[in-house]
Parts: sequence; C-alpha cells; structure tokens
Amino acid sequence: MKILIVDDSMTSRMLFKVYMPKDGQHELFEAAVLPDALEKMREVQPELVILDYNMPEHNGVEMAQAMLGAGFKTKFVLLTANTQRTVVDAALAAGFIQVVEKPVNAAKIAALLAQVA
Amino acid sequence: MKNVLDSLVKVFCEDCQQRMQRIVDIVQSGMPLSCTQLDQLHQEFDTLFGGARAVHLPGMELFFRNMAIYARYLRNCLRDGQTIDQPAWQDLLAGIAMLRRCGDEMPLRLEICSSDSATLLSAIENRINKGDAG
Repeated sequence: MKILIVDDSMTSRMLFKVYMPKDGQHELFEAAVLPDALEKMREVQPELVILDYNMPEHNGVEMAQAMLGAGFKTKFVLLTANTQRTVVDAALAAGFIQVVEKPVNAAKIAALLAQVA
Repeated sequence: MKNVLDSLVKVFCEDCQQRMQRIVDIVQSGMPLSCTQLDQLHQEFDTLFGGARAVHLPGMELFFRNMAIYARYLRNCLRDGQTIDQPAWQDLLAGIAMLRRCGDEMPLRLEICSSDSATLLSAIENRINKGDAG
C-alpha cells in the first residue's frame, strides 16, 4: 500500500519511517506542506493519506478538503495530539476514517494498517 | 532500540533548531505580539512538545507544553480585549531567552538543565491559574 504522511514535524515523519512494518508491503512517502502534498498525491496516488492536524498554514482537515477538492479519491487518517471531541467530529464529518493520537509507535501503526487493509 | 531512539533524537534536535529560529523571528518582529503571532508561537511550541514526548525527553516536554499553553492563554486574553502587561510578556520572552541560551546544544542541554526552567514555568502556571495577564 502506498501511504503519504503529511506533517510539518520532521520528528513525527521520522517516527513513521522508523515504526512502519518492514514487510515490503507498504511504501511510505512524505510531505510537510500542502503544495508538496498535492504534488506527491499526483505523483504516487497513495491509497492512504495520514495528515497531522496542527500545521502552520492549513490544518489536516483543511488539507484533506483541498485534496478532495482537487479530485483525489483516497482514505484519510488524522494524526493529532488533540483528541478533543470537536476536532474528532470535524475529522469524521470531513470523511476521515480514523483519528490516531500522537505520538505514534509500532503498535499504533500496526493497528491502523490492519484496520485500513 | 537505542539506535532508533538516537536517530529520533537527532531528527528532533534538527527540528528544534529550525523551529527555534522561527520562534525568534516572530518575537523579533516586534512586541507586543498579535493574536496571529501568538497562534504561530503556540503551533511551534505545541509541535516541539509533541516531538519531545515522542523521543522521551520529559523535561523538554513539560517546558514546551507550558510554553504552548501560555502562548494560547495570552492569545485568548488578547482576543477577549484584555491588556497584557509587561511582566506577562516578559515571562514569554524569558522562556524564549532560555531556549536561545541553550544554543546549538538545545534540546539536550535544556533537558539536562530542566530544573532551571522550573521557576519560570511555575510563574507562568500561577499567572494562568489566577487569570492574570494584566
């Protein structure tokens, strides 16, 4: 599965690279800002896009809306340290299939991939 | 596992330096700060808080969490029309100055010296608890 992680935090992106199962079944791509994310979407057509919520220019929900608006059809997962009900509700209303609490670890990533597969 | 953590800490250190520069740029653009600038500071501190938590640096985690909360608190005070007095701004600047003193050794030096930040964090917490910005 092709997965795009969009997060302005390089530490957070590194966590995904480190903890992603090394089983050859997943290919991870990364972007830090919306224009790069859209370019990667066009390039690799990911089946899953994981978006951080708290980013400087656009939050993760706004980014997903921009991607949907640009015609991309994919599954979205929100990544956030802020699991307030309002944030979770906004994500689910925008079509996110899941909200994952930061920081991620191997177990959280494995559970997410099992659910998405 | 130690190698993994070492790699993560290295990336976090790089992230810290870049974000610290952005924090300094925001503050150097002139005081008092606007709601937008305080939102930007909150975003930077909050991301650093998340990174510190991910790489198991509890002293930094506490520091950045409190700075993020304080930036959001000052933003809310401004938004609600409260005047923010000089000592309240000084607490914010003192936190940023503390980070700058750690220089290239930040974040690890801050982790080692986390007791140095306790007084400042305590003052900030008291200010928030009292609802005191001016």
